Amino acid sequence: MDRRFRLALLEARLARLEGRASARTPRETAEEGLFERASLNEVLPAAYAETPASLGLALAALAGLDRPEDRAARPLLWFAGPGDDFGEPYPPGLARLGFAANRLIRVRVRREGDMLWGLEEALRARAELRVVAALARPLSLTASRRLLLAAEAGGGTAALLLPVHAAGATVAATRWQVRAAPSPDEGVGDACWRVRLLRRRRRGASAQGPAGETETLMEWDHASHRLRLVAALRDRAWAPRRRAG
Amino acid sequence: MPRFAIERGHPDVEPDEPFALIAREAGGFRIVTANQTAEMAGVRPGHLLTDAQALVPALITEEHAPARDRAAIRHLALRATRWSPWVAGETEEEGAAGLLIDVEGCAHLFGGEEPLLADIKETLNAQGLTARLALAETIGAAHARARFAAIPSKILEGAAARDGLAALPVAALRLPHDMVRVLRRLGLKRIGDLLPLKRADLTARFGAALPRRLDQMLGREPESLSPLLPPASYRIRTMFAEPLISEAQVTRAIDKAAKDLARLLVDQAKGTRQLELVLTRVDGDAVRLVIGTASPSAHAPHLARLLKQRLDRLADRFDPGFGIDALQLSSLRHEEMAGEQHALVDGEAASAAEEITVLLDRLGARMGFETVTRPQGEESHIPERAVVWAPVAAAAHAPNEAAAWAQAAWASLPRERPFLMLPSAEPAEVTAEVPEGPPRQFRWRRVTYRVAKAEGPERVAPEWWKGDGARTRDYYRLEDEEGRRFWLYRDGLFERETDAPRWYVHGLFA
Repeated sequence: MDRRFRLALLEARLARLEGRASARTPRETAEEGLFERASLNEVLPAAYAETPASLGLALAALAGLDRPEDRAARPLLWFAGPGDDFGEPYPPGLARLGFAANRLIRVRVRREGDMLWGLEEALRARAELRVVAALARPLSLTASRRLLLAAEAGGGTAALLLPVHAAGATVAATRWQVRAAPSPDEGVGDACWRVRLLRRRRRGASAQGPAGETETLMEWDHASHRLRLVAALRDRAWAPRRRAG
Repeated sequence: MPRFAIERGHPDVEPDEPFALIAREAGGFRIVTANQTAEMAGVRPGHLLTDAQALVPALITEEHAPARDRAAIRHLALRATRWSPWVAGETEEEGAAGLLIDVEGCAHLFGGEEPLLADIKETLNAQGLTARLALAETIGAAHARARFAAIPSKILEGAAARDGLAALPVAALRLPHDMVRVLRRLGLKRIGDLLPLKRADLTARFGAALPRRLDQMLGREPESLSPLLPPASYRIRTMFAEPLISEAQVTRAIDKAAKDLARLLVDQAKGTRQLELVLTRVDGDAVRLVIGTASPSAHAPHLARLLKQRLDRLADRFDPGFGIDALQLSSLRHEEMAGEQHALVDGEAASAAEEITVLLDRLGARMGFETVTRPQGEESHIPERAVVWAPVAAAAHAPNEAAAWAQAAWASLPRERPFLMLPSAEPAEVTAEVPEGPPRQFRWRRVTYRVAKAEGPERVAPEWWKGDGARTRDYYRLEDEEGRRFWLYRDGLFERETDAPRWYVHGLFA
């Protein structure tokens, strides 16, 4: 693992032991939330083996959009389809990521066409639904535009898990590259991720925010159902490591 | 329809070729029924096949398939719903089959009873079916006249009807063969011979069945048919004077029927959970489709949209042909509905809850209702059995209660569970392990993971009462050096259940 991360982790662990917040806490990303409401958000695993962690982050970031009243009942539609290499949603574990069983609806689709149709319908429904789907291949620009229009019309928020190495144009509001990170806890603790913003499109502005400069260490606080920023590391030269991937 | 089995359509056989259905019986194949060409050449039901072939060397035969006859009569009964919603069909001996239609209150739609009979006969004949039609006051009388009267279609009333029945043979009473034979031997050949006899004597000699059949025939005891389609209290039937040809016309008709049905439901504070649409064509063909809804609904535009969506998917199988002349829309299942939900009947769906219901119904209608599911808790501590996915449309209409129960059960689990579960546990190759402890390194899907942290074991004992041969599992939560987290288990207790316990990846943590 990266040396700087080891340092950041140690610092976080120390801060926890001393009962204080982490020393370096740039707030921008964390406070705005990783995802944008009523839009598309894409999550790209840094390697094939990072796919489950990436899906976990996508769910955590969706849960991060929840207002208190959403937590009780705002449904999460999980489109299970050909892109699911790592199995099916398991509600006893999902509850810990902020989605209780009564919020969960699984829609199983056989074909990509059905998945796109279903996503569009779900985003367009005027119920601010949360929608998650693992895509077998990246969306075409046309398809992602359709979905974006539907999300803007209905208020639905989509978290789309891209296949590894997916690249190319998108109209999604955000695209994040994700890999797992060791948790600062002593044992197997709460989930931790290293995330890097690849793209953020502000509503109404064509310019994109700064991307790719910062890799951020996020952790999931299951008590407050919030993503928390542990450390941010600026490093332009950061490159994904190929090991174990 | 005395020749139903043979006339119901055997596409490979021309009508003028001698054709017979056969069945294997003691002594070899025998003729069950034969078509007119074969009968004219002397082939009769009950003949041995070899004898029949001696008479007609060119005889084409096919083994009799009663199951297919039953399917065909069911389909025919479905088509017959154009005349009345109360229809039943059943197969009989020697390849015959009967169709029972309760036309009470329906005949006027066709201009009276005689035009109705003519219409039915014409439709059946057009399909190549020989039909003997009778119309009578009771099921028993209609049944008897259709099979035994010289001119069954003549409608008799009052004393004439009684005399007509009295002249029929006792076999017309729907009695067991043995009883008919005994009656004949006693000289009681016609129904009229039985009428003067005392009821008590008949019961004493032949059992209760005989006087009951008489009573049913004469209308002294009520009898109703068990209809093919379940009776529905919420049903809209429309006959079209001008058959509907275009898709737009059919769509409009569905819209209207949905509106009328919604009004019926609203009046009774009900919402439908299951709808049935039957469309019948001028040429007698029919299509039936059934859809479910995710929660009770009396929202006409929504119901109409669901029906149309489903009909679109049938498009390749169903076309209006020469036109659709009847439409029947029924609610097969319905539930009480609270007042505020009904506010939506005429307006557009407003609340988010209604939007979600509409969405789930649309998803189900396109992709199949079994694909849209909610999780439900099961009382099992075997992880993969603790959750079942139940279709939203079929689930009890209290998803929140079921979910709350499951949530409470899961919250009491001793340890954290993964958020992803593999459809079936996948073997992992553990290359270094502490005996009786967690693995230090494992290989799964051609990637090697070095374990940094481990928690466990959580022991899950098999459900021995199931007798599925499952072994004890020791589950571990593992975190590798990169922070990826897995749920692995060792299958079988070392030395007690197995000498070489194997490892499996079962789930993944975020």
